Amino acid sequence: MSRSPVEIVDCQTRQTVAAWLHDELGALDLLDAEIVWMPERMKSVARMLRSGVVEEDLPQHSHWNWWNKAYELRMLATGGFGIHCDGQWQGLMMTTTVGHAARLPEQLDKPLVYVKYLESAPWNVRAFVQAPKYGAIGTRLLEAAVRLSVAEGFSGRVGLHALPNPATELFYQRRGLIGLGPDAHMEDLPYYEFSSAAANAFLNEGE
Amino acid sequence: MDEKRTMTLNLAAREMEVLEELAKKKELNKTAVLRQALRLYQMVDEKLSRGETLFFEDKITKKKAEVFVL
Repeated sequence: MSRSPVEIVDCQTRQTVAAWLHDELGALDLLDAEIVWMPERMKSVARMLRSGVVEEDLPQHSHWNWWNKAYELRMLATGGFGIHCDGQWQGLMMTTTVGHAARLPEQLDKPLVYVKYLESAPWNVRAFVQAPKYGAIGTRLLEAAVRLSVAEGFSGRVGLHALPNPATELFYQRRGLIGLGPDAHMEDLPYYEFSSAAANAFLNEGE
Repeated sequence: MDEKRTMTLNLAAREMEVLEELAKKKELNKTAVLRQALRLYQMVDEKLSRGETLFFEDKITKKKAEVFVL
């Protein structure tokens, strides 16, 4: 597994914190994450339900289980990424380089990196906890997806389906992804895509 | 990233033409096209091995044609 240094943000002090971005996760890494994340998610869900939140309003990824996605890592097309800090996985992402093509008119049908799943650890997600521990996890993982796209010769093109909530969609919009509306072939989840130009601008912003 | 290994590939002229056409169309180099093809082949083979079926669907008529992969 290869790793490179990245910076994330301590949400309490607003100071940057050194972390590692791993870009070749294996099944055991996903299991290690899920062993810790699942009880945290469940505790948060129980707390929300007790406080009167109805099931339909729970975060859509409450039921995610990375261990169930581990078999996908056997595919050459699948990439597993994670950010490690404080001895724990702070965020995970799974990508694929086949099965999806660009939809923006200026890059229609060109290959891209498709982000299948991206999630921060439950203690970093405002929907689960009042005071998230670390921030910038999603941004660092999205940067990794763009870098993979560049390395594959896809010119930075990245596509993904966002979970349909305003905060998630705003996160992607602020980073320059273009929303192409709900996708009827994907349970009406909103589809977002980085143009090559926007992806490179996003990378330069972070450097 | 994985260590890269090199091989020599012998293609018929027509196969090379198709490879070059695909590389131009997809704006990829020829190595990238072949890597994509291998990834796709593995993914399809894996899904078929699990008992799934691969279809092409005509966007207008909705007619489906099953794809068989060796």
